[in-house]
Amino acid sequence: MKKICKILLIMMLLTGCSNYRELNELGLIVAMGIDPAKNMENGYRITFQVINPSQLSPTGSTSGLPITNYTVESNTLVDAYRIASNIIPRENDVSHLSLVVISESVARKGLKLLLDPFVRGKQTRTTFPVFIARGDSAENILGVVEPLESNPTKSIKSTSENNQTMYGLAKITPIHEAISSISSEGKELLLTGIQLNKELTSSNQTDNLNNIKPALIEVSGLAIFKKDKLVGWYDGELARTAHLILSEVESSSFLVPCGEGDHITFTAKRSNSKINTVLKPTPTLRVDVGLTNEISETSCYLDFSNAQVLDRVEKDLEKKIKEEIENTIKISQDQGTDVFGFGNKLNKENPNYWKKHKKEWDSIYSDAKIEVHVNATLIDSGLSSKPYQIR
Amino acid sequence: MPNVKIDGFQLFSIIVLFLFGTTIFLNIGSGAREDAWIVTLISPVAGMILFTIYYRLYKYYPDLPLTEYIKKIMGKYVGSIISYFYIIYFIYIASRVLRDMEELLSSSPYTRTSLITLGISMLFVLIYAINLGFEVISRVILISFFIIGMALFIMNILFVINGYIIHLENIKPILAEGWKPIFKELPLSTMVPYGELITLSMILPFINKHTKILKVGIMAIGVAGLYLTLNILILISILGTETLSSATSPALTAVGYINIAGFIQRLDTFIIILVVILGFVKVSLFFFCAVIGMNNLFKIKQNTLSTFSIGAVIFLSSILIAPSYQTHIDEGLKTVPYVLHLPFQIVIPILLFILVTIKEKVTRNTSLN
Repeated sequence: MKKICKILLIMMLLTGCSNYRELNELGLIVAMGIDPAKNMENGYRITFQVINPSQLSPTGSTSGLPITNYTVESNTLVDAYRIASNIIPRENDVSHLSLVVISESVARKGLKLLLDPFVRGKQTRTTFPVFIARGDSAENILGVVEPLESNPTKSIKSTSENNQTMYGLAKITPIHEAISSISSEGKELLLTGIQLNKELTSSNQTDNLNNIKPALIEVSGLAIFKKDKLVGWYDGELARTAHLILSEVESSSFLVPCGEGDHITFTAKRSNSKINTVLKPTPTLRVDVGLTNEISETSCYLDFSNAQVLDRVEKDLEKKIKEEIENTIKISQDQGTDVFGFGNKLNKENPNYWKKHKKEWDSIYSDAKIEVHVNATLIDSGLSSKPYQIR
Repeated sequence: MPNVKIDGFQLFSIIVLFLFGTTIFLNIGSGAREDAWIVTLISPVAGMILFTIYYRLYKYYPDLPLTEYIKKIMGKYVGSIISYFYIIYFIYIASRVLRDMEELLSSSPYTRTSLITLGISMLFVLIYAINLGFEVISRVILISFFIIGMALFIMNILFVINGYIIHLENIKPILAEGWKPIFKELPLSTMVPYGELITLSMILPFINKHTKILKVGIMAIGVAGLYLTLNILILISILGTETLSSATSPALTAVGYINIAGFIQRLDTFIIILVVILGFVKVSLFFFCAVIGMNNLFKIKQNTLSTFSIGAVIFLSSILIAPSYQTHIDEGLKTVPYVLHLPFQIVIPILLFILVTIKEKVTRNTSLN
């Protein structure tokens, strides 16, 4: 009797592998694209990008793509995920989901509670980024394999990561940050947009891979949201400036005109900005920006060993950035959406005022004055003080 | 009474881990929104007052556990009934904590495992530990104290290294709604966890007689209170008040945000270690109190059968107590504190204290005369 008891107890210890699953039995979903449904009235068309591990292994790669896209339609995301098992041959699993792309048309209609399953789900993480497919469907964007990266998910992530550190137009926004922007008072959402730089010429991916000028994924602009609806875009420099206001630019380049069609190029090494809402005498949106720059290129002849010249170009740069920032804020004021979180800041500084005026904050914001202080410091002019002479 | 001896530092680690218990994972005090940390900063003070009352009661009867001296103070019949209710209370709270633990485990790593399996495997360990006696439990707790300390330390370091997820400005505005919401939250966050130290009045007779119990206790409550404050500050600054109040287990959500260089991530393991160890400490204390309470009340010797039967009751009620996690939490926040915690943690001990003080005065006067 005792022996049987002991054996039974020991058997309990051996249950560790009861629900083990090997990698080759799993369909790991790495990316999800969300589009409006085509065959249904409401609902979504969801693209699941499933990875094929055997194609990614360094030794056993055979011909074929390392990823496959599966598209299903349903009213909700989780339902689509379950229905996808109609076509996905392996147990689909979202625990390695690392990217969500939402198409512009879905975002224009309003995100509503679209992101809810990602925080509710027990398997998903909330650290992966969200992007907007600009003027295109997420399905198309997830369907392009670039030569340099093994799969679209990786190329979207690495392109935007690269841009974030080199230029500052794109930003990787984790899903939890997006949700907290949507749900917090006095701060609206900004999401990076991605698109294809040209149409795919043929649906055969190897054609694209063999093309010397392949279709590529590019980051393009910053989507401006009002509540949960996409209302506009910041393009190019404006998107970069928006990140400058939010103190999220690591490094970037700024052009200052210095003559007929000529420019000095500054490379910003560090940036640090503060936003503030001043109430008296009139509501004013105040931005203080600190920038550390070096001169990296000039196309007009200026002697940078002269301190006065440096002073002058520094002033020019400050003026340029100030104008850019004012324009950027003005666009958001025209849309009546406080994407920079001035209201949120005000709530923290002056909760009593905020409580009284939060209902009409959008109109206060739109009418508020803008005050920008830029402090650009030049630390360096590179390895040469004067450009070479053309004789 | 028993000849088991526990020293000061062991007592300290028992109290600290017991207070950490499940509070570390739940969003207690989040009703005060940004000011939740003020609540957790003040509630230890109330906890210290309660602890002092429990300690004074113990001082009158240094060799008896709570369920025994109730009989001395209230008389044999009334006292026995109240002790009986205390035993049921301990069993009930033990099963609540066990349920918390099962739910937290099944919400993250064991998504396909049933609560029953989790509960049974936890309970076998608990029954084994209780059978070996309190000395063993307290030694295990001492070891766990260092493990927990390390785990929490590493976890907080990772939060800080992962700098951009901590937004200190989330703590502002301070006292936007005034003191009212804080006082509204205060009773609840005093009763859980500080009021639950009523279990100590069953355990204090096991402590070495020359230990400065009051000093150690107050210190432990202070340390636990400070850490819980730090913990809630970190959670608010990572999650923000919106997510904090809507997440079922904020610590799990917050740990999910850690992502250092795309390499150090998915650190749920830390939370699992904490849940298992802290849950074990808390359930084992309530369980042990129920066992010694019952053995004393029904005058039976310590035996395996009573441990097993109480264990079975704890396990069964942990499953039957609520149909879902949400109802379980809802009960825990809205009903249990006022129906159970308030009388058993505050009203009865204070009543006992008043009675025993009067009794003591009367006897002293009569003996003087």
